[in-house]
Amino acid sequence: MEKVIASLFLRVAEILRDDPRVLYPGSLRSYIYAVSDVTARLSLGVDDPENVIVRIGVQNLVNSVKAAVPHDEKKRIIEDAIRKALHEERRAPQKDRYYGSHGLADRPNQHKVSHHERVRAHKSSRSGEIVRGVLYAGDSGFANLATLINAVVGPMAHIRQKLEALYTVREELHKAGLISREEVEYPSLRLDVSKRSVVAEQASTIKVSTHSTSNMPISIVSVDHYRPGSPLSAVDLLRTSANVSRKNMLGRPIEDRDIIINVYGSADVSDIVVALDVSGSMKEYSRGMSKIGISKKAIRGFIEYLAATGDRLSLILFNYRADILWTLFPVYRYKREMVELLRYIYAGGGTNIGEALAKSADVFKASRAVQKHLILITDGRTINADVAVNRARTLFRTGVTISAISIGQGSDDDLLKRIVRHGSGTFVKISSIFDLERALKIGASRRYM
Amino acid sequence: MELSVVPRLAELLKRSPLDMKSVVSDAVMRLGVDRILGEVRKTLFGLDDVIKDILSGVMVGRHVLVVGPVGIGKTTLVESIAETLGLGDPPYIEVACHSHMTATELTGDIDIAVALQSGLDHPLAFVPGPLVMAHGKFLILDEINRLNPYSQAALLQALQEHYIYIRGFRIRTDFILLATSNPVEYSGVYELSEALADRLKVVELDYPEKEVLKFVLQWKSKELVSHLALSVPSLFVDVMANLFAILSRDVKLEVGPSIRSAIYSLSTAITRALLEKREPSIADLKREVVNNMGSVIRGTFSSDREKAEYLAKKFDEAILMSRKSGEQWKR
Repeated sequence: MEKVIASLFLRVAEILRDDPRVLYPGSLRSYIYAVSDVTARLSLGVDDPENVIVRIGVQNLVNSVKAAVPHDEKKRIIEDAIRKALHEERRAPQKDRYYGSHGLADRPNQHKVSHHERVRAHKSSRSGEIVRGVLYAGDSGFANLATLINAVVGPMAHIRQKLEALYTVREELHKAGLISREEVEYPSLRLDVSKRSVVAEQASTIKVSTHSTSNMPISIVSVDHYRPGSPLSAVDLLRTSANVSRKNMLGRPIEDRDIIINVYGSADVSDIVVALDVSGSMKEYSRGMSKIGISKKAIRGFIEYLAATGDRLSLILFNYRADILWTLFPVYRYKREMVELLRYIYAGGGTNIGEALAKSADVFKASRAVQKHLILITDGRTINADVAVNRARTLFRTGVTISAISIGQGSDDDLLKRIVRHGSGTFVKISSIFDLERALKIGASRRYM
Repeated sequence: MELSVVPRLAELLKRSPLDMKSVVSDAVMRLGVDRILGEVRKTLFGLDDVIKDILSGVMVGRHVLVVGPVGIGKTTLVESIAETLGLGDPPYIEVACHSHMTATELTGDIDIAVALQSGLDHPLAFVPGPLVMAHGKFLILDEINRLNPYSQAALLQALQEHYIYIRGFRIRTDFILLATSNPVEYSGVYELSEALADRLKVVELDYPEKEVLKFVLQWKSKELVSHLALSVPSLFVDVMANLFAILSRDVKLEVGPSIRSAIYSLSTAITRALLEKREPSIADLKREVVNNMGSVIRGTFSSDREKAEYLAKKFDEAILMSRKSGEQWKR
């Protein structure tokens, strides 16, 4: 009895392994337990053995199998695999019954090759499936880029993995017309260091602040010599130039350790989460550029600005649902990845601020920083206003300050002011969307309270 | 509490390994499946298949996770199974998990002050935690998805090594884990770590069929009002079951209704009428549904008022459904 079931589940493992949607066909432990569990369950008495075998199999395997699809879909894949194996088992003549027990090792090599080829061939169609599956998943709303990427890797995955995931779905994004190729190819922005001092001046912005903001410099706790990857902006010019001139005088070559890098104190290093509204209204144009385009540009400028500090940044996209595009990473180290991911953001769908706040709470859970700051960029009204305010309150209780930047005429400023009041942050209303980058810096400056 | 019941560290260190799968299998064989089902039926109804699924898992030493929406009897189910199998006294150790639970709360810890003063064998020198106390029994972790990653790691160690380490002392512990959790899409929860999830068999509990639900509602609400010598009109139960069916199918809701709230809606509607010395009417039930279920269901409502209106609307739909199905209509 047990042998038959064992060969059945070996076949299931094979089917799952060959399924292009399945990333990992499950651990050996889960298969062992599935076999003994099904045997035990059958001994307890059943009316409908086939359904029981399928059900118990799924119960044991579902936590172990990994697939690039939602949970329910994954359950169905496993269910189908077990059913298919059962039918094969039933059809197969008696002598073939145990072929599965050595089948995994004995299958001709050619099979493996064809399997890999198939996977490769499937790769494009598979990413297409993911995009279509997630984008048009019933009435749950329009999926944003983060939702899409998180269907491939986990929400808390490393930013490099996210970037890889982005590349697997990139073609589909172009095909679906969500983002044009030209849009992605825009020329790189020059980093304008002088802009960093502009923080306090605001020409056409109205600022309502519950606390006064000051712009204290970041404290330097120690110095280190240059290592590959150190941010150039952290170079201590005085000491470095002293070293360089000394070496020049001695006639020795300049080394890495002559370049002194400032190390910033962790107490002043803050974790910043930017929650960006990517609802459909962000597609509207303002002075010849779409709001989403300007927001992306502004956040890009913001990333450059933060790269000079030790701060960590996370970006959350929200329309009807919110998802983490990348979780907290030090900006100076992952600037390139962040900028790259940023370029592919597109807009569409509804607005739900409450979700965005919930997701940022998830991100901050892992944060140990003293300063935690959330900047909410939105242009629209939200559903679930009460929920949003409540979540803002709980978020503040965990030590997160919240600033809000509202864009355009349609925004629910009263709600945003309420959120900010609970979050003890800054509310910035910008009349022109082009002020966003400056507003972001004002929002961020709130952290030096 | 008697100090003598607290196990001493020296005894704990001498513990020998237990083969939990044969302990549980022996208990199941001794009692017989039918008797176990019969015992559980005293508190829960219509879950025979689920009970067998859980039993078959624990009989082979698999840890089981019961997943289902709020208030449909997950905890009661695992408690009564553990109670029936009666592996010891008490038959199970239960922990209500929360996000601030520490690993030491699960394992227990040595009280240095007592240990220094009276030695390690003083009953209060070592306060054992649930992971230690569950040796040879069931460990019920209620809402395991609220357990933070640090405590999950402590639990994982106990599951895979069967030993836990407390300040260098190694204590053997063998137990079967029965955990409950809400479905993954619920907010405010942690995801189980991959290694932990891999060790759990997932048994899903879903909303019951209408006939089963009607029986459960009638039975449980009657239990609640029987001491007042009251009864529950069958029309009420029918409307309630219809409302439940409508709500649990509605995709607009993130969190559906709970059976518990349905039972209390029925019984409070009746006691409310009793207080005003009149027969309970369908309007009473409507008000109590709003009062009892309002806090349970979650969805895309902009305010509580909207939610109340939504519930009232769905309640009227449920009445219409009952009327169509030809229930006796009386005020």
